[in-house]
Amino acid sequence: MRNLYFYLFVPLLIIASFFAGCLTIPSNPVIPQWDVDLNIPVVNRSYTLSDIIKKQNYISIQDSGLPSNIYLIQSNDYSVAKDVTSFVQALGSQSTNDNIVSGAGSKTLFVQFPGGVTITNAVFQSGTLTYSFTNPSATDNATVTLDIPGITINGQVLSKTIPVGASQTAAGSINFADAIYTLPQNQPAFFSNSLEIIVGAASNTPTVISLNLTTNDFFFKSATGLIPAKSLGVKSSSFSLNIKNASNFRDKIALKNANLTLDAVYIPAVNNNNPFPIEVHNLTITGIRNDGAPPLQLTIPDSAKTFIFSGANKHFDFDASNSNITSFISYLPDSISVSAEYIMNPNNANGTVAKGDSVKFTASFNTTSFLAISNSSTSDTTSFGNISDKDRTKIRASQSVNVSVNIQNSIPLNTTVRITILDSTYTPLFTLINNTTGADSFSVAPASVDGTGEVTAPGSTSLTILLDSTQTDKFSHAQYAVVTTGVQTPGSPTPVAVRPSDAIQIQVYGGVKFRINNDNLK
Amino acid sequence: MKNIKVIIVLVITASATLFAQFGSEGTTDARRMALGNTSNAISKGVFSIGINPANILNSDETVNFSTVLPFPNLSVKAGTNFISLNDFNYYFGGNNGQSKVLSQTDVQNLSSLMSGGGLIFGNVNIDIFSIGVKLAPSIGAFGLSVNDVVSSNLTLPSALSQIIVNGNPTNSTYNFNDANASVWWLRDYSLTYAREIPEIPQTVFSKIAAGITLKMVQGFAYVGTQQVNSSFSTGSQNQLTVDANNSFLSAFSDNFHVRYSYNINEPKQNAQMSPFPTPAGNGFGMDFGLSASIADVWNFAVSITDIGSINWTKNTAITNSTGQYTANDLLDKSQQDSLKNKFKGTSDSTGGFSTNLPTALRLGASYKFNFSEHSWPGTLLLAMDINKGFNDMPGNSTKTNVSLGAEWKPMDWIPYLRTGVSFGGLLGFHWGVGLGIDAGVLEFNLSTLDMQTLVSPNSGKYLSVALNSRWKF
Repeated sequence: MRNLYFYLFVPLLIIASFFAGCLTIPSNPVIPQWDVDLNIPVVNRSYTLSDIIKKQNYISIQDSGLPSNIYLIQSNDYSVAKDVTSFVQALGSQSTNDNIVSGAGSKTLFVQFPGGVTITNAVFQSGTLTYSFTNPSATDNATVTLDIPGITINGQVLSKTIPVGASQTAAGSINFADAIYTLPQNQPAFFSNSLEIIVGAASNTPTVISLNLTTNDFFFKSATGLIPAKSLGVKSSSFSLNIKNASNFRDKIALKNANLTLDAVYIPAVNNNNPFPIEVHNLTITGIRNDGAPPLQLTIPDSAKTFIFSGANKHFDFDASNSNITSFISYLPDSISVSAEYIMNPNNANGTVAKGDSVKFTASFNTTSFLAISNSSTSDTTSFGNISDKDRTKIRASQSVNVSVNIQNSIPLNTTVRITILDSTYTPLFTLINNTTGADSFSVAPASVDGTGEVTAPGSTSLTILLDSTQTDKFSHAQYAVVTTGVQTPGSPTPVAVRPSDAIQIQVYGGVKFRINNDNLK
Repeated sequence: MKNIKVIIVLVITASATLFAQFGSEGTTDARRMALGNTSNAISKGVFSIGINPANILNSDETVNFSTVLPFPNLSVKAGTNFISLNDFNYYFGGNNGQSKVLSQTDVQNLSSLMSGGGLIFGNVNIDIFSIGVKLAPSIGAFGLSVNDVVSSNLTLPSALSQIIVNGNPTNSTYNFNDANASVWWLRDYSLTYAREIPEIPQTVFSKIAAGITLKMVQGFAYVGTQQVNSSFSTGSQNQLTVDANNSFLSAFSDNFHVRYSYNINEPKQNAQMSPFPTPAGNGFGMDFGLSASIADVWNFAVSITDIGSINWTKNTAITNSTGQYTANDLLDKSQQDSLKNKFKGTSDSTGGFSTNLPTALRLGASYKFNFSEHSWPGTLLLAMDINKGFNDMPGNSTKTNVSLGAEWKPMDWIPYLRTGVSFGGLLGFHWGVGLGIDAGVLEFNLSTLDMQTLVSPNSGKYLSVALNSRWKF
């Protein structure tokens, strides 16, 4: 057995020692590093403008009667209202002086309404009738009775008894608040502009009592009759258009067509079948920019500047044929001011008015996407979002990147883009270079258009971008990009048709010299 | 497919441990390995099981058996046919723990190593227990064996070498039709019977024997390509096109708790291994063998091994990827997913499928020199084998393998000195060398099939060592 173990173990030991000494096996194998060219298709997509332009409440697609529709850009309704309160009142005072003999029966007097109004029905908000009675008798007291048949308060015809002492003067006032006036049926038409008052007096002996009655400052809740023409003054209101980034296109955009609709309407507080006519005088619509540029006034026909309307709405359409509306909208104002003098009942007609009545103007703009843009430029800083550390590692692993871009553009817009990459502190890292032209911007050729601005053929653009290892390393630190975009329509200033069906096909493919190693294969 | 980890474990295990007796490329024992995989005509006792059942009679003792003591029946072979350990160290050894940066020349050389594709192989054989009993010639001999086999073949496509260097150039097409992968884990319970056949009237041979082995085969895991016919193209504008017509079959024991795409919603469980896993498939196999000798000098043998098949019925799936898909917009998530799915395929339950055992034809001849005392010391045994598989199942190859072996016993106190060479087959040229010690009741063998690796370990592409022991009474 001793030989057996010798034979068994000696060869084993020899072989084991041999292998242990000569065999080199890496204790921690690691994948080597090298660069390999990977070619990938990045994007191949076609976008129509209807895909690109998100649904917004002020942009709609209008049937243009052609195979392709057109965009309709519709503004909000901008409204301005003017109440007519100052018209529903009769200011001033009217007096009557007279005498009455006590015990000789009643006497009917007519005291004019203030302000020259002639009313048949009214509800008072306020107003007074002041009176003064003088009793010359040295011995007898007297009593004066006032009855106003046209006035009811709390359902009762207004009647008042006023004692006047001997050698005394009694003075006071009657408040018409909430009183209702109705022209008495038997009141002569001639005195329809006056308040009928029946005066009576009594005393022990006949005495001549002198009296004074004065109407003062009638404020109505509503009134029917003839209220003399009255200017409500010049009312000016403005509303913001909130055009945001569209301001970048100022002085660089021209529209082929645009419309402004203007509606004037009398809005009664209560049902009113016979409103007073209103004259809108010297209507002025002005576009105002916040940048200090001179305001631009909308030129409109004289018939629209001053007009009278009653009851029914008054509607105006302004377009290129009767106004400078295309220039006005192209002006891209920040706000629009509407100014006019409002004259109530300019022809002194009969009507009905209530305190809450108002006049309202509503304006809205629309234009179709026939436009010309001349070399406008915008700049915006955009974030790349959260790029994971893993993805940044893979970007760093790209030793170089070449990107080829083919664009078939059926949109009649020439776009130039300049992209500068920034790090998290907004420090510029580098600007992308168009290696096809050597420029630091990329231009996308527009679609060709004919004389009417309609697209006839797509524009083709091919360009390449190369990033070396230094740039890919910088790109791995990218956080933001400043994107400067220039837009221009072909043949500007001739407007072109921008249609929802216009499309841009973008094909991007490229190669990456990718660093193969253990980290990048995870 | 969610069983990738399981497959990887099987492949790695198979690549790192033992070599199987299954198939034409298999080795049974250390003696066969030392002789360059040559033993069809000269195998002895329990080491004949799986090679030529008739040779179980080639034992001078009544009983012989092999078990884990004092040394397990162990043979190790793993490697690739394209990269040596030196190359591996050069490329994957790193520099001070850091990844090595390859020059352009390095990349070209790495590519050229794989220019013809690459085979990564490995096999596991565990002879749990084998016993042979030789009775009277009129009765014959019996053998019993329990054997586990894990085998794997992974063929890397030749296109990989081009991808390493060139990536995917514009207007290029890579073809992956030469890719292949198969791995399985089998266990067979075999019963062998052999007997001399003096009843055959003939005068050429002094002895003729025949043997048969019946095997009950259990399969615990299988993954194999059924078809690979795919290409990957990069178009003029870098559009990526995958044209695939691939299918893979797989089956796993319940113990693996494998989930496929069709049952992915089942609860996830870790694999629970045991010495006796639930079979995923069952089969039956047979070995037939004949041997003949002339005057105890010449030996001839012919056998057909592993005739039969396995029916896989548990956790079976076919994973298909078919059709053509072109991606031209990788920012489109749906295109990314479609491209991935085209590579990955989708798994569907098959209900069951069957695979052949690694059936192989084995031919052998040997001549034994008994030298006179003064001409040449000791005895010399020369042998030649021809092995050819009938399929390319794991451990098998339809490529013909020819081997020559020599065993010299100079004198009693010197061990058997063995060497042999092997040509063709799946693995090409190999030069084996080994020692054998016969100490009466215990026989011990030690060998390698790769002399080059033994002499210069780091320059070899293969590692193989085998040892075994056999008790004889």
